[in-house]
Amino acid sequence: MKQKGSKRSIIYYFKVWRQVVRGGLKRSYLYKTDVLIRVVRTVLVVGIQILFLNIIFGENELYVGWSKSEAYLVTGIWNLLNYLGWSLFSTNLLYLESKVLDGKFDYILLKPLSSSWYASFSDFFINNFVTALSGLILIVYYVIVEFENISLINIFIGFIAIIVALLIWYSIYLLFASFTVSNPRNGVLSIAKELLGLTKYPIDVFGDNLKMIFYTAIPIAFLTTIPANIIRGEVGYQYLVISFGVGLFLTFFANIVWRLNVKKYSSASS
Amino acid sequence: MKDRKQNKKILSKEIQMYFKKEFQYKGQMIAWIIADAIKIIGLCFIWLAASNSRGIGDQAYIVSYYILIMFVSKFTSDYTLEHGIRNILDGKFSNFLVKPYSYLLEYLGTNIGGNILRIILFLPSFIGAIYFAKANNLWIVDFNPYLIFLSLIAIIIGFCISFLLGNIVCLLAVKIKEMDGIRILYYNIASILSGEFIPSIFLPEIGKFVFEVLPFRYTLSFPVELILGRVNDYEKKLGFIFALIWMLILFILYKIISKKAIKKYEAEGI
Repeated sequence: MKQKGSKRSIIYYFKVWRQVVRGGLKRSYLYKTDVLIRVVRTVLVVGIQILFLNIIFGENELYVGWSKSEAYLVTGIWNLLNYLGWSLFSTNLLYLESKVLDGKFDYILLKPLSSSWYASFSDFFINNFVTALSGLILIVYYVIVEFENISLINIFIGFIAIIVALLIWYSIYLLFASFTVSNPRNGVLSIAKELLGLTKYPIDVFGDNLKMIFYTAIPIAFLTTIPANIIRGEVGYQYLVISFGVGLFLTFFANIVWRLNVKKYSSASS
Repeated sequence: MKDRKQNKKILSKEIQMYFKKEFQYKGQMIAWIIADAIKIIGLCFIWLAASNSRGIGDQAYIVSYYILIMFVSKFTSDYTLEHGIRNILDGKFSNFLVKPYSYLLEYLGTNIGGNILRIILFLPSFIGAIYFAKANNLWIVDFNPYLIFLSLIAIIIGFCISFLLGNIVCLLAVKIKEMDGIRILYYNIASILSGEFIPSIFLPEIGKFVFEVLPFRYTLSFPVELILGRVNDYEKKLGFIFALIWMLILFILYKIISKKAIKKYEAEGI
């Protein structure tokens, strides 16, 4: 079946998404306690991560060539990507399984929108958005501590690299989630979760062989390590261009895999 | 006596049913094995990198601790919150209440089945991790039948505590409808206080006291501490006394809360 939504303009998609966000915000007014709980959780998440990094560092100043504040930066970027992901698309893609099993995926296919887009962005979760602040706290901490040693242009380019990393994060999630459409309850999202979880620490942790894989075949180095290195001024801006190329390729590839899986989809409700 | 026999039969049927249901999705099991392997490989590399530099104390203890924590968590995990809350909110909980036996038996069957399956699937990763740790002189566990016997008892008590805690939190859904935040916060608190993220040796004195007094330690850290053999006889006795007291308190608490919750339950999802 040819997707109607593929010819819609970006503005149209933006308008739809704006309505989705409005819906999510309205829900947060309804469950104010839940938002408050998420704020408490944000503090907890940061607390655990700082304590954990302190244990790993022990009395050392460096861990695989990264200082403590730089490790906070990597973890901060990871928190930002992870919780923004949960807020924007990861939760929707996680629920895709139940939609396929209940036969509700048919409704997604019938919408005049790209099915991969609608399956990913059909709801907005403000609560996870609140937890994403934990990432911002750690990034801002790094910038304040190292303000004299880093340039503003690096911070700006690093910020763009984080946005590109979000695109890569999304593509990886979409790629893994797409198999749910043709073969639900396959558990592949748990692999994606663990793979993305590895990026909570600098990729240098994993030794030269795995590092090479993480820069090429499974490009998760572009999620946190590269943006952090750009902000630190350790790598050139050409890495942003490479990141962008990786992001575009993965998005394109994930969408092709999605379409192939949609072709194999058989409705549970029919 | 007759009731006990019947309950055993029901429980065994529930476990069998769980296995039959899960074996329909063999791909999911392979994915879980891969996900576990990724997680444990990540963990080993993180601590190996930390052990290459000095100053974090007993690295071998930490690596052995984390590998064992992952293994023991497969025994003591409770999945009630995953489906129990949804059952209450969707009104499906009514089906359990009209049956001529306690719904706890069904939940227990699902949990035992889930844990057995997860243990079996985790074994390859566990063995691989031990091999990796031994090769790097980071494995300190000696095979001591007495300690293993004690830790097995601690694991059974730990599972009971975890199961009761999960069911108590689950029943809150009768009163509080938006449980997502509470569920995740509970997981976070349980993870911190059970020693999943941070071993107790890194906690300050006040932190250690809180850790030992609350029930979460006995669901994970205590059995691992026993296997590692770093607990003296007095601490062993004290640990078991605390664990048993908590089991009793939680059982009474569950009885009181379930009585009130079932009275209040409105099956609004139907």
